[in-house]
Amino acid sequence: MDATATGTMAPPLVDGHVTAGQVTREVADATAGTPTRLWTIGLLLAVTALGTGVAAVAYLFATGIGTWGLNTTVGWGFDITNFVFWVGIGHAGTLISAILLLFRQRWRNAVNRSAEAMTLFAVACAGIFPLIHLGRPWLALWMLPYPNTRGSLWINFASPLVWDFFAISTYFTVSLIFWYVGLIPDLATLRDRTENPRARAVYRLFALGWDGSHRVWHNYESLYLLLAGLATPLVLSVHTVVSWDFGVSILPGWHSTIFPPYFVDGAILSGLAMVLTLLIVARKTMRFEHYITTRHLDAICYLIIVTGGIISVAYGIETFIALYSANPYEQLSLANRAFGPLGWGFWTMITGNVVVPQLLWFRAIRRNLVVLFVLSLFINVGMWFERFVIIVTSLERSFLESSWASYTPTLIEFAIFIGSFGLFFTGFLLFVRLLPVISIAEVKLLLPHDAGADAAPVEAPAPAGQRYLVYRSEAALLAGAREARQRGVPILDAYTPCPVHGLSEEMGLGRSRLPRFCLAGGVFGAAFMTGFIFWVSAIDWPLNIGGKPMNSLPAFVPPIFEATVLWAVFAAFVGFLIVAGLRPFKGSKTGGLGVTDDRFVLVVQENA
Amino acid sequence: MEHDRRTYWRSPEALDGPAAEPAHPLHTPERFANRRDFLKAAGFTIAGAAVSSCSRAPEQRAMPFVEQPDDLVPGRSYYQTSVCGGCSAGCGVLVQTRDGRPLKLEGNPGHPLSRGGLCAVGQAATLGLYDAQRLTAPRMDGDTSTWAAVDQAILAEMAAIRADGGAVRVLTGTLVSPSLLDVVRRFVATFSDAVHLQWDPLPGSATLEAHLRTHGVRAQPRLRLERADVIAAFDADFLGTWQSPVQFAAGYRDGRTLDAAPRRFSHHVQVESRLSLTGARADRRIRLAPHAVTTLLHAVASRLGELAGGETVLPPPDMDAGIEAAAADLADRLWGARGRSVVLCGTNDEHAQTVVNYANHLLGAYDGVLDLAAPSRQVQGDDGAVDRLLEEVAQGHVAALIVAGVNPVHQHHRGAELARALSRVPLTISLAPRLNETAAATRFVCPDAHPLEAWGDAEPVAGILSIQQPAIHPLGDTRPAIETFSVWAGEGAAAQDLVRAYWETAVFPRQSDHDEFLGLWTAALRDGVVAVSHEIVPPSPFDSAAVRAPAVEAPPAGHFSLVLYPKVAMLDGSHAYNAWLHELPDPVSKVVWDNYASLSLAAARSLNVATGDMVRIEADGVEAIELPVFVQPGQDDSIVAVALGYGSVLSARFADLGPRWIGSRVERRASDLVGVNAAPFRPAGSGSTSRVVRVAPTGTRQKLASTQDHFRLEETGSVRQAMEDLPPLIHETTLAALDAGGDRGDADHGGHGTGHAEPGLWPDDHAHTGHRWGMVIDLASCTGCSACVIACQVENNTPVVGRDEVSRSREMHWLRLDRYYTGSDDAVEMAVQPMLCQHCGNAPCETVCPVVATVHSSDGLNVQVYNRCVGTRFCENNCPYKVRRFNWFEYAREQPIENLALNPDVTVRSRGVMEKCSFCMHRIQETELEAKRQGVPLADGLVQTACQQSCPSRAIRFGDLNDPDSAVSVAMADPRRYHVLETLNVRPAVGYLTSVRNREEL
Amino acid sequence: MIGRALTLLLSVGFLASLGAWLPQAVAVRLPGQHTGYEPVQPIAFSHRLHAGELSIRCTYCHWAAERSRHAGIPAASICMNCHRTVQVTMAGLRAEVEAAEREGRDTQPVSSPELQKLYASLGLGEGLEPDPALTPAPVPWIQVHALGDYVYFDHRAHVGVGVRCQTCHGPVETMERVRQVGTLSMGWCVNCHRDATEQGIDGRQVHASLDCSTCHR
Repeated sequence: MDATATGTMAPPLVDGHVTAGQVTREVADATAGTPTRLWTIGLLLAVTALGTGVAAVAYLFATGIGTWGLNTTVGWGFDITNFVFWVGIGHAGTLISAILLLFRQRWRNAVNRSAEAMTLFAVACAGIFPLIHLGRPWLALWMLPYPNTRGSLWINFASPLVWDFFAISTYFTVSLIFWYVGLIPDLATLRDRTENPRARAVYRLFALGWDGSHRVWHNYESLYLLLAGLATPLVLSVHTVVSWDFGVSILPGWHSTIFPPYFVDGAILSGLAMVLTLLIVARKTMRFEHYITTRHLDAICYLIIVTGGIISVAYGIETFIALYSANPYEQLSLANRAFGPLGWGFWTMITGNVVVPQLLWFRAIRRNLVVLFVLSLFINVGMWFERFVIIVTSLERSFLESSWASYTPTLIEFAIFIGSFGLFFTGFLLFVRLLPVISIAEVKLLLPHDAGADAAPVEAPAPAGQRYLVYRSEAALLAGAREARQRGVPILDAYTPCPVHGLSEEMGLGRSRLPRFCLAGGVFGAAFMTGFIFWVSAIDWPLNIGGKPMNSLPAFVPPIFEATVLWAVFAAFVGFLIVAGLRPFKGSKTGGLGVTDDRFVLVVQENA
Repeated sequence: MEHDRRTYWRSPEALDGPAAEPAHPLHTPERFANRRDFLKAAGFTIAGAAVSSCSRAPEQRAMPFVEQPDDLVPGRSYYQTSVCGGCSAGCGVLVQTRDGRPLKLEGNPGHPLSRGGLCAVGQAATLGLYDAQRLTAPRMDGDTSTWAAVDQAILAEMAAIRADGGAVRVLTGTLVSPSLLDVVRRFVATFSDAVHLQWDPLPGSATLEAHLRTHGVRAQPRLRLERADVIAAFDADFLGTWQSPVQFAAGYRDGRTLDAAPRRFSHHVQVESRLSLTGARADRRIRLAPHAVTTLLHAVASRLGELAGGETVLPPPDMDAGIEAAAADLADRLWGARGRSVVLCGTNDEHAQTVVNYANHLLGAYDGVLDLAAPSRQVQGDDGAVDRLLEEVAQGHVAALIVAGVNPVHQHHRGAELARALSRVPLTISLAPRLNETAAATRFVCPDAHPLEAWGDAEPVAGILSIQQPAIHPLGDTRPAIETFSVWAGEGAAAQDLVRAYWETAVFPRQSDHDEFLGLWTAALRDGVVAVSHEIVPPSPFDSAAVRAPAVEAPPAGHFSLVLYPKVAMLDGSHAYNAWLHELPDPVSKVVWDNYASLSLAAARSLNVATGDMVRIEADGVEAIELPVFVQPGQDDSIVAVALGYGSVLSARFADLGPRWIGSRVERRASDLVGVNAAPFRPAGSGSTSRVVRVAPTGTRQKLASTQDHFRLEETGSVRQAMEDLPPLIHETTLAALDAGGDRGDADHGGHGTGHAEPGLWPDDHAHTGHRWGMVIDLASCTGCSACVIACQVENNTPVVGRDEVSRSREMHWLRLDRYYTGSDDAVEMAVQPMLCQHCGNAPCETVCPVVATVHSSDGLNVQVYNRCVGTRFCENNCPYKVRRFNWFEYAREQPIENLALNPDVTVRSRGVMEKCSFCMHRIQETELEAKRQGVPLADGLVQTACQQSCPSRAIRFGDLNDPDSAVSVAMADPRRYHVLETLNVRPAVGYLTSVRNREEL
Repeated sequence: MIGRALTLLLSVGFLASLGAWLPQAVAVRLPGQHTGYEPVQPIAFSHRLHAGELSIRCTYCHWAAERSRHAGIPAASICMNCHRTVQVTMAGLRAEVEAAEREGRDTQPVSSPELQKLYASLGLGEGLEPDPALTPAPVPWIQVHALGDYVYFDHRAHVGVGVRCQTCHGPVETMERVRQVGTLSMGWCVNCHRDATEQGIDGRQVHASLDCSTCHR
């Protein structure tokens, strides 16, 4: 712990003098006890909004898509706007978890859990819209390639909607696995702390018998890094694929090659803004000021400035290309966007995404949480309008002026939009009550050195042939291990609340074998999907789709990529469970030792 | 779920159960009485009983014939000849019948007048047949009755009238059926004081009267536009609504052919006050106020008189320099082509018509373009008939009044007065098939049969006769008018016998081709038309003394001239029950489901109103009406134009048509009717053509539903500028430019059928080895008459969605007519481009569909598979032509009778499914299969799409692009051929031929 | 360890694919699939007797199959081509002869009770003469083979090219009561089209289209 946070010039990531035991207590106990009044009111509001949305969707299903304000010209409106918006929100979670992990941005440890949860709920909200926007949602299953009684009529792997389907479902699955993997040690903590037998049974199910063994930590860290490595291209791919819904079309205003980076950047911007919004609220309502510090907020603000700058450049390029191309349809699309009937939407977008991020240069603004909160909302509104403007104004006026039409959303669309917020906040509020909002294990890595914890180990009862030496700190454990190795006492294992770096060398553990699982899975996924798509599209039932060749490989790359990542993640996760010997309902041998709290146990051989 | 196609197969037995009670406003509790007969006619019927469970198949009954008819194969369509009963033009039709069910009317290509074309109103007739609100039994004193009872009561009263010598008046429209006319005459002859009055809701008797004066015959010459090289039309919408538009369009087209050798292309000048379809097509259009139109006509005739040798029959009128110059130019052109030129005038003013006759006389038109020896019988009415009738009723000596075929209470300007007068006539009878305004005011209603149910005939032009033969047993207990009059005349013969007897006695002697009557009868039934000799009333030499200068009067300042006009779809309003016609966009304004007060841009500005603002139209002695404004470019500033035929009780059924949902804004209008009846504003009597009215905004608004919006007019600044910079989507040129070799469309491409010159990103993997279907639309021929739109709707079971849905841009027509305005507001020109699925070779819609619901077939069609479609609407978003249509709601309904009009060859689309033009692939398949079965090759021209078949001006060519000699391949190679949005390189299978106007400047 | 993992992966994959094929493997009937449907008809008409034992051509009664989309349920008048004279089975006739002998009376004209329904449908009374008191009414046969509402099948195209009726309808000549044999699912149609294009019909080459528009429009 001496080498971690204290030696830097930066402000501390955890304010004040917090001990590991305190972290466990504060974070874990937030999940027990009676909820605060603020939380209860929030949940009621969220559930009401969710109920509104559910009722509107039920009415939609009963009556038809005509209950939306869409028409023959404007085929997408609120539905896909909301879809893209929520997918965008879902980007920040994985970005913070994965990309910042790879860049070794340690400040992420305090905020990654809630950011990941945000991702999951946002992607869930996003996933609903493509389903309910279908004219016949009960047939959504047909988007899947499965053998059927239609002579096995497959799907069109060249359609961006199919890419979307693969991208979103893969992203959701991988994010879920990533989030869950991060939760396992904390679930073990909760399992060991809870008095409630029913809750303990649930925690036992999901904690998979986690006992803080260093052999497991060793593979766990490898898995976590692998997942982060895989999630990073995935997070970039998701909005890239979403942008292709528009980019590969021929509609002026959609047909564009800059959409992928522009959309990914916009997604990250909106996601960061949403993280900011939620963190400010969580920090206040959960009293986590010492975990979510101004340094965290600053870091997010810096990222917002960067991404906001990128998006401003993207807007500029769009304008430039429209003018430079001398394509009259593009120019009309551009003019119509800014000065047409929905021009106010465009200027809202510019305000939210170009102007507001630049205000964050000012320290005074960053320090004023109320202003920051409001600005973060502005950015989200701006980003929502960006999607709305791209989708609706481009459709409104395209090639044939005889078909130009306008779009007015209906009450049902607003109700479903509100409902999606209801779903998001219901999920998020339940999450903050039921699960540790802050990664207990990872925050312990950030704690300042506690000199009082370097006391000599205490012996604990151990199975035959073993000795349990219980330390109060990571440093003490490492010192003990070093001493044991020097004395030639075989170190059998260690049980720790957080990964102890350097212990593997003391124990003589080699590199984890998980990367090999991961590679095998990825290769299998890529090969299988490539072969499957080729077989489906060119051999089993070749169809003339838009005059393109049957085997148009470039169009098949997105689903192949998604399958590669999905199989690699599955393989790594399953491989981890096998290697670490974890399984549901497995009991922990170390329940009473406090190794999921603040005790560090070194296991050495007896009689040596 | 897919819509249950079986519902329209459902036998009428199913109507007995409460489950079949449809919950739709169109439904009426009255049932078809004669079910058993209908069942026999319907033949092979599958009745779907709604027994559905998971383990068992739903039980469906298959009802075979009891007696197998010799020549009827179940499931096959049969075509029989008949006459369209939509109006008095008497076009020849082929009735497509399947399993005893008439499905569609098509023009009879063998008919010398309509020549295979059929207008929108004619196409829509099948919906009238399967109209559940048609009267299914006679009515007596407001109650449903029986024929026996009604006849007994009427005959008793008639006997009394005969005994008393009371006056009987029979009021009909123009009777184009000679046998019916004959029976009416016989009926009239049974009374001592009985008169048959013919009166036309769309007046036209001035022409007849003018010819009586100038030529000594009360006749309407047959117009042969194919012989005209110069046409000057004054307020005559002969391609849209005037007299017999299909016939005229066919003739007009024959006078304007670019592909025939030697090439003939007439020069057509249209002088008019409102923008008509004919004016839009004209080579030169002169926009004038109504009175100035008359002045110009006068000036042209007067100038022609000078050119003809200084005659002083008609001194020139007072006119300004502009009119004088135009008159001189026009007269010179006409004179230059004398013998091959004609002046047409739609103004119902006797004096103006004498001037027209004078001009035509000077031009020698009566020796070529106009045929007075074989006159038209399509307009026979006497405008003053109803006025005289009212006088007689007021004097109290009319004992009986029988009204058939017209609805004067609604259509006549003194309709309200007539309704009151009817109560003073002891015996009033209406023969209306529906309870219209007149029928509601009469004591007896004896419903006439639908033309598809009854025998009849037609002689639209002297010597050209057709037989109307029934295609189905009457669905209700109705009786053809001819039978009804026969019963009342004391004969009581069946319609078939009456028609046959007339033909045997009156038509057979007029011909020499057939020695036996049966030969003539069979030929007439088979061919649908026979040409026989006819009695010629020799016209007397032209009497120039009868030529009178028409009176002209400009409206006083602050007033408008009210121009009442018929719309292409609504005509005189007798089809106001027909939802297809209400939802057919007006080809000029694109407005549906309403009539409105058309004002020019300047006039609207002067009143400070915009489209949708309500105005009140007032005139002395007439109850004011309120209508929404529609700002119409190309219209004269001094007029307000209102369509006739609206506001009929027949349209009450549409009060809340359309899907009902939380956001629906089904607007309740002032009444439950569609539009407002403008007939009371008709100018009384002959002599004046328009009425002077005051127009004032009311301050309220009423949304008009239009299929084409007006973004161009609304926008300003950079958006407007960007719009102006868009390349033109429609190509137009002039004959002069074409001859000079310039502006020849996009001729720089190789033949479409033989492959593409354009580079592609990927190799063409998909050779079309068999047929490859394609279409070419000749915009030089297309008049925008909209017959194709209805033909497509009938053929493809396209739903009607109602005003609210159309105002949300959710109309469902697979084929639409895109209207383009060019020029400035004071010289607006209009062009029409039919737009349907272009069946692109590189279809953008196909690539994006996730579930392969839209793919390319091996014969070049872009197919939409409804049952695979999940409704992402991505294809629609990515379609540059925006021709895809989405089923926003479940439009199909359980309507046991109306659904009989559905085409069993085409799936009825369910909610949530995308649909679009299929190139009538069911017609392609049927023809292909039949050719295969018979072992004959599929000859070019055998496959016809519904739109192509209906087109009166034969503007659409369809066929195999892989056959280099097919008509469509030849047209594709035409230098005028272009594709819409060709730069996108989506390789459409639909080509267009550049529109051509015969003039020097573009 | 890798071996263990791969075994696990493969077994998961195997189970997943098994799940997909399960409906076919255990012959689960999906909604809309009515194989085996064998309704009781209003007249106990035996295809086994007519098409099997008597070897009457299918298209004798279902004559429209060669000329139309529909094969057509024969009109009652078509039945009368034979059943004006054939009114009872040989066994029924013998029974009457025996009964007459037993009872010592003259034989009386007999007709099968099922045929009586046919005669009633035609409105025929004594001696098969039209009876004005009876109203002719079609026999309400129950449809056995019902395609989806969005499928267009044309008998003429198939009969004309030489597809045997039994290919789709099964051995009707052995069925006392007609039963649905084929699944009438899209795959069933498509596979036959594929086979026909590959193998031909009766040695002749055919092109059975796989275009969607062949059946859907």
